[in-house]
Amino acid sequence: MGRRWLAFEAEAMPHVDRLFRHAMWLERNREEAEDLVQETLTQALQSFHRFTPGTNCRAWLVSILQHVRSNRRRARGRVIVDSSIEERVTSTMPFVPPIPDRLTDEDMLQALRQIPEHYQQIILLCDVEQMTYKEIAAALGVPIGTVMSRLHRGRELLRTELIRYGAGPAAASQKRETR
Amino acid sequence: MQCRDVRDLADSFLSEQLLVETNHEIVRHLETCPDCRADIVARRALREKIRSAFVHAADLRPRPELSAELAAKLRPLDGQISRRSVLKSWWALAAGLALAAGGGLFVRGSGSRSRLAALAREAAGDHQNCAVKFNLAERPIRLEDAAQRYGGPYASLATFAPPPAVDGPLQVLERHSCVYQGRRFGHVVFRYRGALASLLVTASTPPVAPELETDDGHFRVASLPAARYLGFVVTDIDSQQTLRLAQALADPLSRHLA
Repeated sequence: MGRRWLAFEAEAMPHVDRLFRHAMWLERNREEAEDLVQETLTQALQSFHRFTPGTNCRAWLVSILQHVRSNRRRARGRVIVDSSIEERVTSTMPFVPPIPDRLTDEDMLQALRQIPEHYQQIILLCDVEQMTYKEIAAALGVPIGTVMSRLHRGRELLRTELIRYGAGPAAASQKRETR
Repeated sequence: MQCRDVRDLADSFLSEQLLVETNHEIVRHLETCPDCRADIVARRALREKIRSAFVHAADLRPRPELSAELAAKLRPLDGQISRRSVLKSWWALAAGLALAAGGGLFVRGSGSRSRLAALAREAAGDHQNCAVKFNLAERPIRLEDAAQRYGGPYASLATFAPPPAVDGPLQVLERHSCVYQGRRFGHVVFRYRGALASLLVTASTPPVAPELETDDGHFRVASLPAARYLGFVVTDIDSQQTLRLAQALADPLSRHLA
């Protein structure tokens, strides 16, 4: 067995679970998510000589996953980001009170699903994958300033959603129906 | 610093993305402002809840056999990639050999030995700058936090109980994860025979058996296998005692990290 594979198996393969979760969140389809993870790992294996041992391998893999998905979506002609929404959000941002304590994990993920996708991505990369702003900027191909502003606005939007969930299922579903 | 500034910087503060001076300013403000303190606590709780919800969500969980299936598909690719690389580099290699023969260059030792020797020097540098001088550029983090961020051996290292060593007892002084010259280590600092000793574990191919790597006059470094990872023992005691310590740690450590 090759040394490259042994090193790759030790460094990259332990992250399959988290990579799949990330892919599954983005694709919402098991087959597509598995396919995305496979292509990500194939590209990672081909480029493994570029990985610096001792650095954050999961962040490196998540970056590749983001690039693979972005290329696929571009090939399919999908628009990824409506950047104008950021300006609208900035000008209409209300004061946000603290989130309720009794929210379940399901409420949390449902609320996250309600905010625009590019805010979801930033929150996941920062809070779940614990990537640095620099790593996130490289993964998404945006400036660090954009990472910071999207993170700030994404969190405020999420908190607003969570308050609706905390106010009860009726308020949350009423909100969803108006979308 | 005003409340508004703190709220603007709160996310970056929690993500440890600010300069040390700015962090201090925020901490000073938080000491006297219960509202901002509550805001930071709420933000931290929200981040933790999101992370926990995401990593425990049943509908995001992969099939149990996915990892093995992917490994089975990827392993043969490695051979193809290597063969392609060999073909691509054949002319470069031939040219290199011709140059080496003509210019009197020599290839010394195997790639593996020189890689281990380079990593051993980094381990010695980490021991000196972290355990001895507290002089690292980046602050060490808890092993549990390193495990969350980077996976790897860090969580298991937090609970590793060292065996009685041949030449005296090992007293654990500290455990953390630190970075030296870009390389991350899981680091257990011991007191051993009246001096500081380090056990360092990093993500790299392990050696087959413990071996003495360097003796630079200040520190002795022995490499050891640590399950799938590479371990080092760094001490300032003599070479043979350092090697015996690495040999005493190798099996229990590999079993614990496996």
